[in-house]
Amino acid sequence: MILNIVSYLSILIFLITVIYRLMRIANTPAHLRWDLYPVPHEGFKKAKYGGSYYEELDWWTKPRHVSIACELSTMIPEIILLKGVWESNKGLWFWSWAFHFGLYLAVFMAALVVASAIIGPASTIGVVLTKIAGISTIIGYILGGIGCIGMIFKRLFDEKLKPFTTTGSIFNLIFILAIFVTGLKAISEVNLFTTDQSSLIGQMQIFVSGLVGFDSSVPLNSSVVWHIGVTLAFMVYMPFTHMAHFVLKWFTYHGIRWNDEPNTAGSDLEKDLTKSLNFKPTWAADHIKGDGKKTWVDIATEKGFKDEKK
Amino acid sequence: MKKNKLKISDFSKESDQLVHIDPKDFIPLPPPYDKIEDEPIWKEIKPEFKETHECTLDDTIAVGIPKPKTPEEEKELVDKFISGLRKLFEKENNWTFLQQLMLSLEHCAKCQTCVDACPIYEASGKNDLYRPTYRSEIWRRIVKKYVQKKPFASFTDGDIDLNWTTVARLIELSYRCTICRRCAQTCPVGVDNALITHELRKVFSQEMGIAAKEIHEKGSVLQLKVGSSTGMNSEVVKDNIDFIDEDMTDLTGIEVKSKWDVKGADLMLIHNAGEIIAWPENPGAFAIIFEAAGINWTMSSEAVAYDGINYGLWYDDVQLARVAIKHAQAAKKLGVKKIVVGECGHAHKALTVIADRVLVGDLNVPRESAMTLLEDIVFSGKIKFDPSRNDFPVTLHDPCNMVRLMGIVEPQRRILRYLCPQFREMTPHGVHNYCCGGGSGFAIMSAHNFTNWRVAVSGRKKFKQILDAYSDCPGPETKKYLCAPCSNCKGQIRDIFQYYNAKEKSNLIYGGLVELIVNAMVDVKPGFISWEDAF
Ligand code: SF4
Ligand code: SF4
Repeated sequence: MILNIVSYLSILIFLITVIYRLMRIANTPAHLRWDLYPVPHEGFKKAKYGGSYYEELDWWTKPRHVSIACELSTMIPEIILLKGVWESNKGLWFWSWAFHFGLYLAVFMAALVVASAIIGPASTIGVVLTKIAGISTIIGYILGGIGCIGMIFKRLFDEKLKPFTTTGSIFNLIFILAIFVTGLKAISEVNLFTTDQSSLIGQMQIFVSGLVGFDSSVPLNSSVVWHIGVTLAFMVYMPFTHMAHFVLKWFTYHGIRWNDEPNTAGSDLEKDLTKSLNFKPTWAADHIKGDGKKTWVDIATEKGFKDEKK
Repeated sequence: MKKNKLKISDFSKESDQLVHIDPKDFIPLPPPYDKIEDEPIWKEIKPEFKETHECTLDDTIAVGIPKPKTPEEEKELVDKFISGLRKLFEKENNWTFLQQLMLSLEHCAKCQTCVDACPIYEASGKNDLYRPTYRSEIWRRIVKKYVQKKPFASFTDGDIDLNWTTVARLIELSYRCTICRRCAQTCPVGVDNALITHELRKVFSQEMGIAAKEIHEKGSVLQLKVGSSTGMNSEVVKDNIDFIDEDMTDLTGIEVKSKWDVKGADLMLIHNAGEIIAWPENPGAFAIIFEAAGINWTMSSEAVAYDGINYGLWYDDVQLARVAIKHAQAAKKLGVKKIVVGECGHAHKALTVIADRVLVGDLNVPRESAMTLLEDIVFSGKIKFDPSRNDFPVTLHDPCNMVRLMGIVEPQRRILRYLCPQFREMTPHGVHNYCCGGGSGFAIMSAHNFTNWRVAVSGRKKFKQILDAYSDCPGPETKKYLCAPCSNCKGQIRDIFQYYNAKEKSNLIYGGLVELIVNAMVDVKPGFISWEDAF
């Protein structure tokens, strides 16, 4: 009963925090451009060398092509293989990749558990999903655990990383390691590869069915309870940290690096910008003298400039 | 302080010197520039200046903050800094970069993947002070602890002391990064250390009125006051262009007449006015090409609009907007169809990309790069070329603002491949290029011994890259040309070449793209580019 209540609360806090953080960024005003090339949606040909629509004469008269396929072909190797880390930080790559891939497999397992619990674990599809979940769990937890340990060592002893290691960053890694370790402990105590309820995946399915059906009558193995408890605690903690980059990275790429949307007459963007240009800044330097009454337009145009020159 | 042992906490502790710059640590240059004992001796910072100003960061000075005379003055600097930092996170004050900044504040994984991409860090021999992340991490810790007052900030984000030394050193350190954004390109999360440099400079300028003199007082302020940061007013600029036209006519045998204030022209060309003073053959070559191609063009003699410089790009959003608006207003007044930005990288980015979201309504006059227009002209068949006139080794420097930050990569290359038989690329090039080391205003900053630093440290990687591009013909017996289609980059490259005596040792000269185009024009007297007259 308590585990179920804690679970509902944890999931709720996780969702609220993640959505809050997403909205907080999404609700910032339209900003100045800060694109960085290559921008993959320019298409395969241009993205290969980093070209943009500015390479075309009278670019504003030409239709703008946006290649989702090229964008995906950049994003997928980056997400799955951490291509950027491989290219620029080989010494960290394996540990970081193992760590991230372990987490992906753990999330994948959770998705399969939910799907199989809903479909019915005994159904043909349920059995297949359960088996895949079992395999991804063992690989994911071992890989993730190795990745965590490697990253902890790197952060503590690597000359390049050490000066930037905070107690918090080690705490985060230990927290995640605890998920993998409690998971592996649970696997060692309950069966993994059978599809019945005594296996880890079976226990997880019972847990998920209980959550979905508001039923907490079927008891769980204590090591599974520990594993679920640590995972839930992490879910509550993680969105408050830099690790929320797992979703906010969308903005750093699509909202900034790859945001090359030109401002065109009458566009929504222009309307947003016009609003921002009417904000009233309070920057105090003598060449600005923002008093909270003059707008950006006043300050940046002749009017404000003349005032300032007086 | 020994290099590579610098801790974040050291930054706030008073000491004679946080780090020293030792040429022995620098990455080696290829022969004949490889002997450390031949490295020029750095100019001494005057002891009187050291006594009265903050000079304890490294062995150079870019800004030079006067030391406080009273504890009140000390406190004032810190308080103003906190007040400015707070404003960075308010939409009324910083709608321009709020989203970017929040993301870069909150999502750095401290993985250090970005550090090796930095040419300054690498060239210095990996001096920790110049790590892209060092400056950012100090800023981040200050924001968490003193602005956001986050509970347990010291535990979660790391500790830092904020005092006068921290602020004064941070002002200096914000002028040890060229904002080239090469580090940002490698960050897997999308965090941007260059943006943090930019925003720090903004706090110093917009709130505290502190900036490098050359870019503020003698830069954007002068430009807005008299019309150009070169100090030229409208009459002087027109006179100078007249002289240039006469010289070009003599040199090329073609009648050259630049156009001013032509209403309804197809395009308004805007140069970095520094060209007119330092490299007159560049605006001259533009005029020759445009006239030969029958382009209906003009320049504006309105104050500010005859100078494409917009230093605000590197340190102050308000100054950026003021200058960009003047540029657009002049184009609107003339009723031209578009503005074409000449060979100046930062003018490209400021007016075309950044100001795109400042110029609303009828100020949104279309703007494009000279690179695309020149490509169109060169391949239009309107001008006859003889590429054998450019039969010497040529390599291309990619100005960061135009290439990595705008994606204008190929037009200039297509021209060079066509007109320069011995064109060769640097490694790496295009969007992965190295900054010339003069980015973000450095090229015009030379107080105290800053030139030593910006040439020997921040420009070192570029110089090495240039020399490596000519590894098949390093000696002075081969004439070599570096094409740098950007005024600021040219200023920096001029200083690098002079510092290391590259003309004499390697017969290496530099210039723009238009000079190579004119040099290959059949109708022009041969020898437009001359090694004898260079420098
Ligand atoms: S800026 Fe990016 S690459 Fe650099 S340490 Fe932070 S997360 Fe890693
Ligand atoms: S922007 Fe350029 S100079 Fe600045 S830290 Fe990054 S790589 Fe180095």
